[in-house]
Amino acid sequence: MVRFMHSADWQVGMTRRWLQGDAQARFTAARIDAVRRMGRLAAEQGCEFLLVAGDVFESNQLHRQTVLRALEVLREVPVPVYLLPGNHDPLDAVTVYRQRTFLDACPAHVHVLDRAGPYAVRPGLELVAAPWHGKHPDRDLVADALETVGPADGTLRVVVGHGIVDVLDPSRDRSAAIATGPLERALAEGRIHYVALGDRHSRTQVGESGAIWYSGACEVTDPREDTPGDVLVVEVEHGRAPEVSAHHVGTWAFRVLRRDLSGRSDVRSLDAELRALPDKDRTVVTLALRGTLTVEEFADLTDVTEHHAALLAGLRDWDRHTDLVVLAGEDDLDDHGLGGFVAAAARDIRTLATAGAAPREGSAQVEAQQEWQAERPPGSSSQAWEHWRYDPMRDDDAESARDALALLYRLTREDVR
Amino acid sequence: MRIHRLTLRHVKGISERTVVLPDDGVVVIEGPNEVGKSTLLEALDRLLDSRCKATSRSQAVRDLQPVGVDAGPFVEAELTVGPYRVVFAKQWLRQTATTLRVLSPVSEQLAGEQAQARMAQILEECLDRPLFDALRFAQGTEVTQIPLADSSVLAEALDGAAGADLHTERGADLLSTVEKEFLTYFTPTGRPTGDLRAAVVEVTAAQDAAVHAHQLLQEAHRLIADRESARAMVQELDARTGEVEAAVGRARGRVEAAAEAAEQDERAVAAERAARQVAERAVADLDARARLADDVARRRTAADELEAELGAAREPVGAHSRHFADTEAERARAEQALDSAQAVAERALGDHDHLADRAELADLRDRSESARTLETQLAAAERALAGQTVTAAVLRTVVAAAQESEVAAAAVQASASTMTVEALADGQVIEVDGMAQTLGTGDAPLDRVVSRDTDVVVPGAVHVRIRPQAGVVARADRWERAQEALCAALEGAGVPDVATAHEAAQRHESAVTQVQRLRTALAATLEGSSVASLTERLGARADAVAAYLEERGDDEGLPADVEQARAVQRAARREVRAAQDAVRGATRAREQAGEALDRARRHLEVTESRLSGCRSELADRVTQLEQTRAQVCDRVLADEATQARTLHEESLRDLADARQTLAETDPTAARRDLEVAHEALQAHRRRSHEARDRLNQLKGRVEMVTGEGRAEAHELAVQAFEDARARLLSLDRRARAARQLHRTLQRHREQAHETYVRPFAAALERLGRQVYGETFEVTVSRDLVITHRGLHGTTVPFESLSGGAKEQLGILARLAVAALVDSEHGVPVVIDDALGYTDPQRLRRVGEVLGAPGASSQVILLTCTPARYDDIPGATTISLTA
Repeated sequence: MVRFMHSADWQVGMTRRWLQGDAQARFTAARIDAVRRMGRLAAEQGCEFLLVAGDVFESNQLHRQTVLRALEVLREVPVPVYLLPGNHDPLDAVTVYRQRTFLDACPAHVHVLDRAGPYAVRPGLELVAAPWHGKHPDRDLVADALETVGPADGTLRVVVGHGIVDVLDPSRDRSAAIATGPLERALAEGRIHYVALGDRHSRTQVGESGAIWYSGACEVTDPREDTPGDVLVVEVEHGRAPEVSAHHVGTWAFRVLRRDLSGRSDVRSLDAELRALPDKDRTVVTLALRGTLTVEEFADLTDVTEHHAALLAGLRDWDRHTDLVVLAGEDDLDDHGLGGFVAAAARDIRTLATAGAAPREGSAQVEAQQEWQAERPPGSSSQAWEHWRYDPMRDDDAESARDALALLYRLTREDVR
Repeated sequence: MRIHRLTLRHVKGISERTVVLPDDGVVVIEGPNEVGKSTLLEALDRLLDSRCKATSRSQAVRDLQPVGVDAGPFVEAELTVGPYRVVFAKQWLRQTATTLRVLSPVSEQLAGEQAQARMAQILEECLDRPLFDALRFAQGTEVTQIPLADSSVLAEALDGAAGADLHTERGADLLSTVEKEFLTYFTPTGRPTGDLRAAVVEVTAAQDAAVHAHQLLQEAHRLIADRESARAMVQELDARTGEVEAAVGRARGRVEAAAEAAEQDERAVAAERAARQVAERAVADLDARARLADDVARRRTAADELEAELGAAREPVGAHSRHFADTEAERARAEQALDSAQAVAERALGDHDHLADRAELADLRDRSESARTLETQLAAAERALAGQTVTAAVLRTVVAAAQESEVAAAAVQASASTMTVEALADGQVIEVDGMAQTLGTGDAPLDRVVSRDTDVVVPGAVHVRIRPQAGVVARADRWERAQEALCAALEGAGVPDVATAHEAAQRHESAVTQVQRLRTALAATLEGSSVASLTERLGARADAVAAYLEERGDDEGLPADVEQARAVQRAARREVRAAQDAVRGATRAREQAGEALDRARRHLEVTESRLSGCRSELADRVTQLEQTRAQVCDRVLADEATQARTLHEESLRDLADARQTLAETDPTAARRDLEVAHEALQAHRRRSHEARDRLNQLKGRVEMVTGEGRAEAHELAVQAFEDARARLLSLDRRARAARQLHRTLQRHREQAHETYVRPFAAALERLGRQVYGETFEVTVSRDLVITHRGLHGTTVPFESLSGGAKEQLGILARLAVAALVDSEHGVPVVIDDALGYTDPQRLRRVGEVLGAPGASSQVILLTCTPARYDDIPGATTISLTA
């Protein structure tokens, strides 16, 4: 019997673009803290060791300080730690695992699974590792590692691999995808007993065997992830399915709020919802808002979002899923005591705002800025931001018209007050 | 607003005054200067000024202080403002108080601060301040345009008049608020400023930093890729090292084999050379022995032959000696014969000459005789010639003079007069030209040619002078000279007349001929010589003849004559030549014989000498042969030669074998191969070394670069940029909203103003036409400023108008405004002491106009010239007195 902790995708050194102000630094610190909590949990749970299935580091080219801090927190982990190089930190020419910084500071109980095949943890217990040697393997590394495994001979074997499994990614023809069939057969034959996988940031069980798992990232990295922030405590024994239990160690939350807004009450309930969020400084909210609002309501919405943007670690519009139409009728204008040339001007602006209520073409730079990019491959070239240029003389458009109306509304309102 | 009543107490110079104004129409307040007309207006202004509270002690308030009275200035006014009718009063400086009574619509009674506040509220609500200020007109103040554009009451009125609903209350305030908002983001010219600008700068910096970080990361990737390729290169080179080294080993083996073959070849060459030398020496020895034996035999034969030859040579010597003696004798004989012949020849020559001398001697004698004769004749002839003096030349002179004389005479005779003097009695003495002549009767008359002045005097009787013409005198002179010349010539020739001269000349000529003939004959005889030399030669020749005869002794055999002597001589000469030939032939024969003898003697000597030499050499050779044979006998020598040749042939075969081996190993090619292999190895090692160096360098750099954490730095830089961009875009949204709002409001306000202009201009023109006639028109700008006035088709800019015209237009503009504004919101038009510059006729028309709008507005005219406004219909006049 063996009991151990399965984690993956720490991505130490990761940055997230929609974090505001000091949120980035706290986000970075959070994943170090998660490891610290993991160590304590491992001790509490009586785990024999901690197994990290790839992407311990965000990249092989990290600041010395980042690597040192990660190793320092690993020193606090009271059980042996096994690190598997993944696609972000592969065993290539510049691998972090062979850099002097790492070698000099690596605690004795931290082991890097830097070759494919079995590692004897103790008599009767083997780890079967499938480390990455480059960013783009051309074959199923886990299958290769599996070939080194001997027959069922009473040795408990835990396979540790990294990458997408074929059943979760059937649409893509990736020769490097991990084939689940052979793993399940080996499990059935009793040659191996658990498969610890990394790469998928959502905690996921693969297949029906109950012995193939993605632990998910220890701290959330993307709003689209399901159940991130967990680690798995796994107990393996001959002759029965592994016992797997999830424990939450993450402290951050990435939330998506999809709401239809059709009046002041909707704006108010959105406000209330945002107010009710716990741990705002560790929460990133992505808004996907649709609906039709009056100028006044839109101005209120702007106030609300501005207020919460200051409190939250991040607040952003999910542009692709945002579709707000602002209506400004004569009544609105009259309500605010607008007349004469002011009213005429307001009508002009409203026409433009309403004209833009159709599918928003928007300006290219706004699109570029808000385009969702969950995973940006590190070091990829020709990025849109390099060529981004700010044009302060941009023509008025629906967005500016909507904002102008809101401004007019606000100013007249203040005037009345 | 309407003013119903105004009460002042203790204000400036006014102790107490109340003015009650009618509700509408024109009010003329007249009074002398300093009576306090303007003070009324000033007091009203202070009352309505919310800053001039009753408790205020500002300068504006203190200006109202009365003169010489210890009391606070008090002002009270009854007004209608909007819907309110109020009585409002203030007392400043002393016993300050503020009271407000609202009479309608709901009556109120307030005092103090409350009254002040309520009044301010009412005014704020219902009084259009800009309009109130605008419709005041005071003479002497700046006669410029009225600031109407900001009046909302007017705007509303104009709105209504234009039929457009463009006016808005507080529009101006809103616009300025929007502008303030706009200016927080942009400069007035629309450039980003403040926070927006700072955000742009920040984004640019962040972007630059991100681009830089990206470049660093790319560089790191390149370095990593380079390192991988360097590592692959090192591995590839290492894999090939063994092969390259093996190639060198193989090449070296071949070179060593070739060296071995070369050595073998050298040894074979040396052995062959030695064997060949031994064989050659043996053969040479054998040959030398054979040659020596041959030599001895040959020399022996030669000696025998020479013996025979010597015998044969002795005989010819004797024969040749005898023949030589014979030829010598023969020659002596020939020489003797020659001597004889030469003696004969000499005698013949002498004889010949002697005979020739004799002949010459005879000739010389004849010629000498004849010469002497001729010489004598010649002397005689020459003497005869000397007597004849008239030569041909002399004759020619004489003849010429005679001819001249005849010609001159003829000329005189032809031209001169002739004078004939006849004596009429005898004995008449007549002197002609001084020459007395006696003439008688029988005498031939005296004829004279008168060729010159001729005096004929009959002494004691007459003197006749005849004078010929001048030409006649000249001719007479010539004739005279000719006669003188003829006389001289004849005298010179020594003859009396010309005929004699001719004869003498003939004689002279024949004498000359004689002399010449004789001279010729003498010369022929002498033949160029002289008589003396002829004589000399004669003597010499005679001596020679005598001498020869004496020498010869006798004349025996002397030839008869020269011809014979010559024949003898020729014969003797032939004899001499024959004798000479004989001598030459004998001499030649003797020489030939001598040569033949010498030859025979030399041959004998040579043969003897050769025989002696031959014998001596033969003896030497024989000795030599015997000696060598004593050392090695001939057969041993032959055996040794045969053996040496056999050994040499064997060494030649060995050498051929070695050569073959050497050729097969090809040492040059082997060495070249080794060099090539060596170079390849060197190049390979160098490349390996370089590749390793490069790998190590790249390793170092990669290690350095990866330690920098460029991927993370890049992520952070991009992150920072995107933060900055988000901030900028957030600001940008607000900025663009402000800009759009500002821009749109501005545009619409301007459009609104344009719309107001039309009713204002129409109202103004309507009034203006009453004053100026139908041609009056104005141009009004968007902000309600009159820019041009047109009259009688001429348009003049406002600024260029006269002061009076400007004033009139100013008043008309205010009245036009008053006409446009409705009575509830209207304000009084106040014109303080104006139209002083306006002529009476125009003043009347202006007065009519002033009267016209009275139905809806108050028009208050202040003047110190009562008659000025007499023409205003329906005007109420209030006279103020001190």
